[in-house]
Amino acid sequence: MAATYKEKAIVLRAYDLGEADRIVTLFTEGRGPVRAVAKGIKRTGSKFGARLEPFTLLDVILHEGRNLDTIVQTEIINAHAPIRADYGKYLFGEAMLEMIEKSLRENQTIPRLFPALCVTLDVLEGEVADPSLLLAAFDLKVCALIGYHPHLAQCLNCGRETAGEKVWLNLIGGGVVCVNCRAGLDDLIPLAPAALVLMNQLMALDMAAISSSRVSPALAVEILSIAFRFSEAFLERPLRSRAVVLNYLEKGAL
Amino acid sequence: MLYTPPIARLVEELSKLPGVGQKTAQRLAFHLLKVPAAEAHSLAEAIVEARDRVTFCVRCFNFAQGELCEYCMDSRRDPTLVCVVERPQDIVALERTGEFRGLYHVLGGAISPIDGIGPEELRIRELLERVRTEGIREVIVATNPRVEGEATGLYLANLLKPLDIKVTRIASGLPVGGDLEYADEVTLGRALKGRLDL
Repeated sequence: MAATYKEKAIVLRAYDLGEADRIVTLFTEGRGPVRAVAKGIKRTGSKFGARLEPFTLLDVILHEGRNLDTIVQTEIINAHAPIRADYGKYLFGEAMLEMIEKSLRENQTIPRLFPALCVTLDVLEGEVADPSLLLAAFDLKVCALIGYHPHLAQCLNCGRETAGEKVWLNLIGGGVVCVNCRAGLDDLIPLAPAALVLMNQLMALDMAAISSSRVSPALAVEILSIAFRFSEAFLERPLRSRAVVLNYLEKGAL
Repeated sequence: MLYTPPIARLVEELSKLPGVGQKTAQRLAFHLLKVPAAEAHSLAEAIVEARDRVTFCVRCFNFAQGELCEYCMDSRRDPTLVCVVERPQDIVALERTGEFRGLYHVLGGAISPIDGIGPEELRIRELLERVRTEGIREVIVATNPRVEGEATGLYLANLLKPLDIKVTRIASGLPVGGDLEYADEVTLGRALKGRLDL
């Protein structure tokens, strides 16, 4: 018999289904990503109103279905309104939501990932010195939580300490290689000492501390591009929001 | 083979329509075979005519039958007032109100990074060109009141306000016939912010 269950969830995305329904992808605390139908949500008199918009943290009651679950009831915990009210924050936030959506299969749960997204969205809605660093750190930390922790302290091949020297990030190996070991390897990104130090800091610091960090704009964009390539190599597919974010950083408004 | 080839083709083509499954396609196909031939031919002609003759207005990107759509050709409309919408269907909804006598601009969607849609994928550059050359005084942003529509509105406001024109957003709040008790916090909060003098 189909059961009804309650979850705490963050809305990742929603897309249209037929005339008035939408399929909503929820990142739930206990069941990972769940795709569920919100019936009649597009009608102006819908009971859901703005409760199922991306970024919203909510308590949700769902009814299990054969293919898709159905959303029965919702209550907003935090709508993350400041993210929705700031164009830049919206772009960076969407990239975070897509990272979660593309990293997990439906109903796959990873410990600490749900609180990590909650904390990051809370930080993003406050004062952030450089959102590029926050997004880069989020991508790297999500990779680490899923099991692809970037190895940055020693050369992947010979085990030599690499601090202070130019290294190459091996996307397939998931860590750095030294100048002596890079020959014959594909998918390498050169990493200057400053970029390596920053990557280590992003992995070590918490999101609140990263939100007040500032580096040169060029280094911030470089580290964000590296984090994008690192996570996409791990996920084995490109994420669509990345190009929009990088374009925004490069050009700003049209 | 379940059907004769012409019926099988008709069912297959109908089932490609949005929201039409195999069963519904089958029902529609048999209905079309049952109605008078003239009625079925009229439907076929209407589809062909719409596909062949409907284009996009070169000015506002609404559906049009020639170079310009009916609104852009109407000299009684106020050309200094432009309402920006996501899709041509939204114009129909706004026209039903009978409250708006300006012109339109269809963006072709809303900014949605998760779908790979940035400002470059929309007709924002064309809007900017219209504002610069057509003496527009006010742009009303009437994108859908979803996260994507709001973000598009913010982007347009950032872009257009330095050009010294008025940029407004359609109001959002409680639906007529609704009940306060069941309103969500975001909608109710907006209704309060946008309250009117009585």
